[in-house]
Amino acid sequence: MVKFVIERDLLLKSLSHVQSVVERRQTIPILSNVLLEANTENGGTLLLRATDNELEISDKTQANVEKTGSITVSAHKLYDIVKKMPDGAQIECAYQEDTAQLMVKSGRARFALPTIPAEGFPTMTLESAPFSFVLTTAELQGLIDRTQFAISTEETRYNLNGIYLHEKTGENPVLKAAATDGHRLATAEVALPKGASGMPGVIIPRKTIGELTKLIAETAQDVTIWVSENQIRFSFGDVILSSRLIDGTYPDYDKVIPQGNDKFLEVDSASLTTVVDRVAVISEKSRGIKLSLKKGALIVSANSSDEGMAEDEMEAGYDAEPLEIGFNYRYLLDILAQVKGGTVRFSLLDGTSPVVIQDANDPSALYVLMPMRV
Amino acid sequence: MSVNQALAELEELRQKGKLAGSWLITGPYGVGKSTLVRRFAGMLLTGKDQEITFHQDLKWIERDYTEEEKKDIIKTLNAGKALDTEIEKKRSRKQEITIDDIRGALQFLSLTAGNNQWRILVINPADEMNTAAANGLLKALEEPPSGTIIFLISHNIGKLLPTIRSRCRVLSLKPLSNFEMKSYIMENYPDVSLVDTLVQLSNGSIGKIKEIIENDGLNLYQKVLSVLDESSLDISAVYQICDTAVKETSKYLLIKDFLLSYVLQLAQKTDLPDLKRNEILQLWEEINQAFRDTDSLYLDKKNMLANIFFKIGRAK
Repeated sequence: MVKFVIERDLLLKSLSHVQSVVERRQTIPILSNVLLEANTENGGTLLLRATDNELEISDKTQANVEKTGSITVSAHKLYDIVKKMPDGAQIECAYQEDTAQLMVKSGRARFALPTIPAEGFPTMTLESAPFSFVLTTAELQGLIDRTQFAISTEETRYNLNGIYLHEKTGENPVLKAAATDGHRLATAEVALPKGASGMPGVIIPRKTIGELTKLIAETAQDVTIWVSENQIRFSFGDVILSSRLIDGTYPDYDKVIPQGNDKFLEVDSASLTTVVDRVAVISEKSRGIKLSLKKGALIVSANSSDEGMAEDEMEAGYDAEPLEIGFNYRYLLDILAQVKGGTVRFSLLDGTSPVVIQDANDPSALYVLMPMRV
Repeated sequence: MSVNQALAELEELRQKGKLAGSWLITGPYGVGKSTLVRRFAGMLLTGKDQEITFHQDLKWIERDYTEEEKKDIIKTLNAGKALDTEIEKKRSRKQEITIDDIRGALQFLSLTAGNNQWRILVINPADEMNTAAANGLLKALEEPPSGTIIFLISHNIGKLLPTIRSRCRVLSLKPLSNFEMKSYIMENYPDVSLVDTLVQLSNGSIGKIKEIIENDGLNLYQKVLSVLDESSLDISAVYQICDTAVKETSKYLLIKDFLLSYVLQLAQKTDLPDLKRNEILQLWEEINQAFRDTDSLYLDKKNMLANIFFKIGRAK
């Protein structure tokens, strides 16, 4: 049962995809293992799968399969062993029935690893007839990058611990991502892909988002996404990530997006970032900075009894009556970081109402930031 | 009701779509409460009538390992080693189920099911939850998320907060009859010779039978009996028994049961004058208190046990 020979680099690449979900602080033996499934289809394939019971990642790769079957071994140990093998080496893995160990051989090096039978390995099965659609990596990355930072980390409001991905119908239907922690809201959208119409709105847990970003960084392929009430699955060719969803209702965030803000400030995003970052040296503790707006200029200042005072001024496109408003500088920098090299546009009402921030050249993302008393 | 009857009732409710979300399974130790839950979980999650111990949609909460033990398990697993069953049995656990364990449970409930539509959360036993943990669970018990069943297992329903009890449907399992116990022993331990003694000692609890047999309890019982039945106590034999008890907690617990049931049997003798009977019942209470004090204050077990042996010897 289970015997295959595989090129070291292929095995290492697949293992590196899946092993990152295996928790280092795992106390359930089978969850610290990776499943190896050898098949003879398509001239021999090896399927690797790992899970932390919340999400699972699997990868398929070419292998020379002598005996089919499946077995599980410690994911981190196997990864460490394969890493230490020279480039281009051939690795042979064979299950030893008498000792219940997996023998890993390469050149003259030999390892024996304890195994656990594959039967108990948890598998996520997708419900039948899920919604399925395709996004380019750039689109998916855009949705995630522009919202991820606003995900709440507060455990008690668990329904905010993820990105809400949903369909927005209307004249131009879109696929929209939203995240909020109550202090800021971030939304991003792309044109509704074919097949997504009618899909349920789903909340993707933060941990899944983290793994997803790692996988996106490695691929340029289009991503196929399946969505059902209980699960979401992303397929990057051979690598497949499946995850549970957060079981909760996402708040109706549209209500917190102010509609009547009538004063507009337009500044260069990069320069504002530099100025805010500079002034923030004085408000490391309180996190508060003040923006004072007057015709044609913007003064960024911080004042704290124990840290001192800072002030900087820059040119800005502002044409309404003077206005003062305070923000948590970290929240402001998070948003500015998403406005890539262009003009950022603030829509304000007064010094105490939420502010809408947008990239002047990109209407597909929208941020709402609550002011802070400074 | 028995495990099979309880299982049939749960299954019937499920088919009717009337399965409640929060259940309190009560009954004396070892009558099959956790077996019932594991079997029902097997039916719901795998569609087969089988006991399951691990499933991605089953969260089983017990007193957690102590931090040192947990570190040791993680170290073993990270080293790619297999866990040793003998070592696992002896690992020490925390005194109670804490709010951290309950947070883990709530985290499990906050995510959708990984497979079927069902998620099952089990607290075993629920009377080991401390107050903070119990309060942390109230909201989930009051209104379990859809497709979720919460089972609280309890040997001692009086220890539960009334707010917990009132939020659950109760299902109580009864001890097995002597006849059922006998047929269980014949079926599972055909080599055992002292079937009647075993039935008498285990009080209708299958868990107790397993415990006695796994710890060589029948042998131990005979030893205790032979010492106590003598007209004058053999001191070296008494100390020998005490030594075994001090070395292994499981044996200590068995000897505790044996001694208490021995005294109770003394009191049940029909030809006893009332005064003597009262005396013996008082002794029973005294012994019980001695065990309670020793367990809660970590007193010297050997000394206490020897004392009890002598007291029983004198009272006879």
